[in-house]
Amino acid sequence: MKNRLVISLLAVLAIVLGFLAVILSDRNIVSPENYEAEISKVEKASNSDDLDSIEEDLDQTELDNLDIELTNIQTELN
Amino acid sequence: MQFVKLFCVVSFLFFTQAVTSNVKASEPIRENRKLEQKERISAVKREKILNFSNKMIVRLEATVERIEKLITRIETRIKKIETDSKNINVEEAKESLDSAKQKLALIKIEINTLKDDVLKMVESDSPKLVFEKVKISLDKIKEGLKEVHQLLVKIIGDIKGLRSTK
Repeated sequence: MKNRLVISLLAVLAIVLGFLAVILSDRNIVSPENYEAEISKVEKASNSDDLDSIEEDLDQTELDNLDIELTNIQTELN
Repeated sequence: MQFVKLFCVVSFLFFTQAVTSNVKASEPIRENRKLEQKERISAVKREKILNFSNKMIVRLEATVERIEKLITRIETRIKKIETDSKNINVEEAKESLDSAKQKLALIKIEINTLKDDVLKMVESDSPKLVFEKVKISLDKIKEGLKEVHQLLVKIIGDIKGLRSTK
């Protein structure tokens, strides 16, 4: 009875650790849905030549996460 | 009796040679299997690296395209100002816009270099060395895009200033 309890606990622990490992290894990976949404956002812009509209699109131009996958590439190389 | 002994010795020798040659023959097969396994692992990694790189490159190209459209829109606006308000001097804005276009053209060339380097990296015997080139290329692209962006922000600010002072 005691053995069964220990085995069950170990099994649960293994599942939890496996789950955590998957989450941690994927934390830098952008999901396909998010990636598509992100690219659509980059492609979405007004065609107006109104200064305020141009300014707004300039403000919304994302330049900080252009190479977010670089860490993943480095991980694969190591 | 001696004949039986001799027969046993000869049989033993044949048996030993047969076993040894069999082991030797299986060695290259084992080596090949190891190599295949190694190649298989690197092929998986190569696919992953190419996938990550492609995502990054698509994002960069989409950003370049977005900035190109912004430049076109600013150009249209400047032309309209030139036509509508002849007393407003937009020469400086036009020069800055030309500079932004030139910088963007260089960024596009650098993106092509990046693409080549990524392919070299996955095929290279020393991928980590090529990876350093990839990083340098990426830094140049990111810095260039930021410069162009700042230039465009300044142009819009200048145009707004010109219009409000006239």
